[in-house]
Formats: sequence, structure tokens, C-alpha cells
Amino acid sequence: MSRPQVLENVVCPFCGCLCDDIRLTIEDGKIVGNERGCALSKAKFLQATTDRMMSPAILQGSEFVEVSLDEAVDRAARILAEAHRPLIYGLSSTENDAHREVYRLAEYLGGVVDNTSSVCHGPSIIGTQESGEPVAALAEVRNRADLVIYWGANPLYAHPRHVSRFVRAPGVFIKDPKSERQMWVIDVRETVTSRVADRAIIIRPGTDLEVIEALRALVRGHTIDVSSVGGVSLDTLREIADAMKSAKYGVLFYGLGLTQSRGRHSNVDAAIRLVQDLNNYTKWSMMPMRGHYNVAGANKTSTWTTGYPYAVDYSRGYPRYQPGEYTAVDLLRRREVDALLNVAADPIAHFPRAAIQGLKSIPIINLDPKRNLTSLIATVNIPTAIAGIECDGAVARMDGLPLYVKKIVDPPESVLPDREVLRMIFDRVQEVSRQ
Amino acid sequence: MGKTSRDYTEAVSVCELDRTTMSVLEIGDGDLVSLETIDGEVVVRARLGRGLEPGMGFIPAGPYANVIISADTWESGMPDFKGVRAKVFKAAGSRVFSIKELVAKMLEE
Repeated sequence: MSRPQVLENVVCPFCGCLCDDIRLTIEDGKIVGNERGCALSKAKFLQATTDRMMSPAILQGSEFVEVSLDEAVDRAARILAEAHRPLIYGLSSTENDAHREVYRLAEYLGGVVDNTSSVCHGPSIIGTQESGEPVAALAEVRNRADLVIYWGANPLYAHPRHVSRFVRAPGVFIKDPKSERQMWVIDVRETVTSRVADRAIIIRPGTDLEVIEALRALVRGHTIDVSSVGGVSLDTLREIADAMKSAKYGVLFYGLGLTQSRGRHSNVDAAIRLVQDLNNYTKWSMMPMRGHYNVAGANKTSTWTTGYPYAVDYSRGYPRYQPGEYTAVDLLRRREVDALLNVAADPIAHFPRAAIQGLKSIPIINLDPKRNLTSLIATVNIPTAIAGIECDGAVARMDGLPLYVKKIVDPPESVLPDREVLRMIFDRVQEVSRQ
Repeated sequence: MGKTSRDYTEAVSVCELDRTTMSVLEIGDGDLVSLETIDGEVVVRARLGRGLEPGMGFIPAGPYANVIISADTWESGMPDFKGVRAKVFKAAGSRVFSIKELVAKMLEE
């Protein structure tokens, strides 16, 4: 038995915080200890080997038949080569080099490539395209911010160390975060985060846009001829606006409460303009609470490579972008695609029923380390290595910071990283197309 | 806890409701409720939600919620995951579908 090995400063590949201070203990090629990680991080590292897809498999009738990797790749390549309008979807839980292979494949096939941001912070990107991106680095938040507002986000649940690493932690200019930094939450319901905040403001569901616009008016010194907006009294709104204007450095973190509710990108657009207005008086920044650990990276690699952050159609041989047209849910709802290559995502668990029905009569190729709901109905399942645990790669944190994730342990026997499987599929697609 | 585990099913097949709604509809914590929208119907377990306003329900993201939401994205790519109007009924004598049953049902309709 070998001596336990301790690895310091490991980057956790779970959520968009990409905590880079994890201490792992490795024994006999297995991760047996995770210090500093949150519950999600512990589960990700310590249960890396559980619930895995162990062999490539092809669905025959209602049974999965285990096949060799070459056979699975051949079947996947034939499905893609024969498809008229293939969709490649996912990308947020894998590293940037795998993304590169996906764009190459999408361009070659004349297909559509979309990432999971179309059902999370896609509207944030549309808002940003309208009004700009007043983003800060997370370290800047910790060092300078004296007022932090979470709007429609529940970090204690979804990004468990976001608060303790960047908001309740001391920074260069904020020595005592408890007394020198205020943490407020604006949401439609009480949450675990709102319970520990210095102030929680509950608004009526679906009124985010109205509340933001009311705050904008108050920040600009206008009078509003109503007694409340979105269930919040005008006096309270005036207090919030005054506190925002008098902060030395404010940061607005926002979650799916803005992007998935009525208004969507208009909510984000309005919030950006509120932050712009506040910058006439003091310094404010804002940042989306990105969920999957490399969904911010998926938007970046897509923009570098295709010119657009998501919803990219190559059917004319050059990239075109249109959310609502080339986004996965819309394509499936309209029954427009005739094959799906799913990479590191789980559309069956996360799409509305009418979109899932668009998958029932088309072949699905599923690349993922673990069994998920999409693997239950996929035509071809190919297990891959877990990026950041079983293979290395580059990923992007929620504030855009690129980080290198390491290979910690070996993947299960004959399991390859996403990028290598995708390269094999690409090579085979070329061969099949030439035939 | 994988997506095919019992833990996952139990985590996503619930609907948090406020105390008033539960007492008016005589629903107890853990009782089965049927949720109906214009897009579908699903049976889940009711849970008492802390700090919910009367009339508001909360279902965690997952396949049970996806049964009753629309796939119309209003040309944005994003479906209505939040702010969906639904009716809640007591569903004693009914049962919560397993994930496999639920997925099969979604695909066959």
C-alpha cells in the first residue's frame, strides 16, 4: 500500500466559483480526502468513481449492448454524417479543448452548436450585448466591496463558498467584512442565503423589471407617483437607492431569478443600466452567478471560435447566431433537428416536456462520465473522463478568470477525455463522408 | 448521488407550499399533490416551505417541474422556468412516478 499523497491548491470543477484552494488526499490512485471543499465539492471528488458509465453501449431495441469504443465511435459518426440538421449541445461541464473539437465538428457537419447557457444565463448575454458588461474580478469584490447585493440568487445552496470566500472574507481594504461590508439579498422568497444576509428584500414574483426601473428612477432623482412597486414600499426602495448611491464600491450578483423569470434579458439589460447609472455617483459592478464550472468558458470558446456565445448555426457553411431560433429548446420543440450529440450535459433532466418530445424519434449520442437521464434513452453512450479529476484542461470562472484544472487520478480503464473521443468521432465522420 | 438515484428523485419530486395554502387545502407535509398547468399535470410530494408567500409554490429544477412548464421561449431560447401559474390539488391515492416512468411518459405522449 502506497503512502497517502496530499495535493494542495487543487481547482474544484463543480460550480462557477472554481475554488482553487482545495486540499486532496490520494491513496492507491483514489481520492480519499477533500479539505476546504464544500459539500458539492466533496461529493464531486470523493464520489468520482460512483455511478459511472463503464463501457460504450449502443441501444438495440430496448436493451443496451456493450460495444468497443471503435464501434461506438463508428456508429456515432454514421449518425452524424447522415443527419441533415444535427444539434451539438452541452459543453458547460467539460474543458475548453473539448469545446474546440465540438466547433470543428459542427462546422464540418453544417450543424447547430448550442451550450447550456441557453437555459441559464443566455438572457444575461443578450442583456450584455444590448448594454455592456460591467464585470469585476471576484478578488476585487473581496478587497473593495462595501455593499454586495445578490438578486434572484441563492449562493449558499448553489455556490456554497461564494459568500465565505468573497463576501464574508476580509480583503485589502475591507478588514472586517462583518462590520465594513453589507450583504443584501433581493428575491421572491426567503432562502438560506436571505436568512444570513444583513438585509433581505422580498419582491412579488415577476416584478424584477419594475423594481429595477423604479430603483433607476430613484437613483436619478425622479419622483414616482405610487406607494409601492413589486410589493416593496416606496420608502424602502428609496432607502435601497440611497444606500446604493452612497456605497463606496457596490457589486450586484444576479442569478436565474432574473434570467428565467418574466422579462428575461430585459431584466438583465435594466440591471446593467442601473449599474451604469450608479457609476455616475460611485463605483458599481455586476456579475452573473454562473452555475456549471465551465459554462462561462463555453461562452468564451464559442465566441473566440464562431464569433457568437451560443445558439450558433453552421448550416450555410458560416456561423449565424440567433437565440430563439438556434437554441436547443426551440430547435427540439419545432422538431427541427434529426440527431443530437450531447456533450457533458443532461437535456432530458432539464428541458421542458415539449422539447424532450423532440428527442423521441431522433438518434442521440451521449458523451458523459456518469449515468444521467439522457443516458437512459441515448442511442449511443460513450463514457468519458471527468475533466479536472481524470484529465486536465482550461476552464473559466464566473468572472472570466481562466484557470488550469489538473489531472488528479487516472480515469477508469480505456475511458478517454471528451476531447479525444470527439477527435475520434470527427476523424471517423470524415472517413464515412468520403465513402 | 447520481441522477438515477433515489436521492435525486426524492430531491426533485417535491413542491414547497406555504402554510396557508396547505391548511386551506388540508394538505399535510409529505402528502401527495397534483399540480396542473396548461401544459401538463404531475404528482409530487408537498413540503412546507419556509417564508413562501401564500399562493406561491416552489419545485426544484428537474424532470417533475419540466412536465408542467411550456417549451415556448418567447424567441429567447429560455423557457418559462419561473412564474408559471398552476393549480394544486390533493392527490391522495395517487403516486409519484419513478424517473424512468416519468421520462417514458414524457416521450410517449
